[in-house]
Amino acid sequence: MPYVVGKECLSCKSTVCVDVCPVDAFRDADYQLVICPDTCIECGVCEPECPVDAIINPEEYTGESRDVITLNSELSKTSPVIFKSVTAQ
Amino acid sequence: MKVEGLNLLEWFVAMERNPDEWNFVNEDFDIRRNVNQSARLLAHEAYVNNNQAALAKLHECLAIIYRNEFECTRVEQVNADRRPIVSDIQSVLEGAMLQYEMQGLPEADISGFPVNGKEYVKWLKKLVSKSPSSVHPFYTRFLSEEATAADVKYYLIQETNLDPKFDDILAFMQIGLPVGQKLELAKNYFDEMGNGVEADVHSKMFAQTLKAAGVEDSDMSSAMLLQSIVSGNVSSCFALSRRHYFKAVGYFGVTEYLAPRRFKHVIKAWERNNMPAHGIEYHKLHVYIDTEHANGWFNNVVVPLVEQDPRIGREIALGALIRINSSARYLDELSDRLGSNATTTA
Repeated sequence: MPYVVGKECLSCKSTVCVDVCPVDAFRDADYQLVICPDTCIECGVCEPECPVDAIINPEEYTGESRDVITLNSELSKTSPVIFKSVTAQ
Repeated sequence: MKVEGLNLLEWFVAMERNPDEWNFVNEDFDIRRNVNQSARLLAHEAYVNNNQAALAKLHECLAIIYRNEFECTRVEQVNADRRPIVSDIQSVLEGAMLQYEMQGLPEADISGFPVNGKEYVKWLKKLVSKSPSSVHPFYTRFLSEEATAADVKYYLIQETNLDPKFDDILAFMQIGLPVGQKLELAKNYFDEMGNGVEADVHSKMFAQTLKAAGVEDSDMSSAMLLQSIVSGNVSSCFALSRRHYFKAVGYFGVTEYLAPRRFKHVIKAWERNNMPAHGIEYHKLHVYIDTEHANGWFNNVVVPLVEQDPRIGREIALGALIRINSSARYLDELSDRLGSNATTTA
């Protein structure tokens, strides 16, 4: 199961998580980042990077996570890959 | 305090050329006292007086000591017992090295951790995240976007201080462990052994990667950076001494954890320079496999250790921080040498 980005990202979108992803799995949606479930290798290195703890470990999915999983899956199909954080660009 | 009398490095090199001499010298307590004193003077000059030439000599001595421990037995040396003197020197030089590595570490970073295993792992990952070597511009900017094939070759030469002996490090670390931890390290080790397929043995693949990048044996010693040698020596120190096992868990766990994010940029450098596919395959493999290793290491080694005794959490954090800091110094020196200005800690 892939990691997903939750709604906390909406208030922040710092993008620092992008710099540690070894497979470029983040997608730059309009108002938040999402993780492409087909690209994510479940390494989890992005989770501790997030300043607002928006990244959800699949081991900690709850009933509410279903919407977040769907959102990540859908938005990742139409959003561009983001290779670098805003600060690294 | 000056380095006087016996030049430890020259003496060591001479002794290595005449292994039978060790047995005579073991019996000569005047020489042993002199050698011990020279080691102490060298350590003082290197780490108290900040003499870089002395620091280089100290680490060359340690590198010789560790090389003997990591190499296959040579029949001409089976009667040479180095231990009485070498243990003395090793203890003095290692002591100085570790004292330096541990001095000034913030107490909050080595003691303010949760004692629940899973929470500890989260805490440890956050500790890594806030360090300068977590996302170092040597990888994210220089290797990713600027490095030439010659730069990649130079970088790989430095990596020989750890990469090709990681299988042996894992072998040393497994000794005497409880089954759960031993199983995790053994899985990791078997991956290093190519899961039983000789062509897939990682040290062999790394040697082929070096060859693909144009690295010759003669390139090794002349091009080695001091901080690369230091990193190799700290790795050897932690792998070879059972009392440092807990630090080794933190040190090598972080090494596995950081590798995938770094290798992504190494792959980009190989691709951008149209270098042979073998090097790309080797690093791609490690993006995936080191991810599994890091997670297995954290879940099946770190978690039970911290829950066994919270004091071990401090040792693991020490090892992790030593890895983070020595890695940052190494990458800064590498950036300086290659003219990339991609430094973070200077």
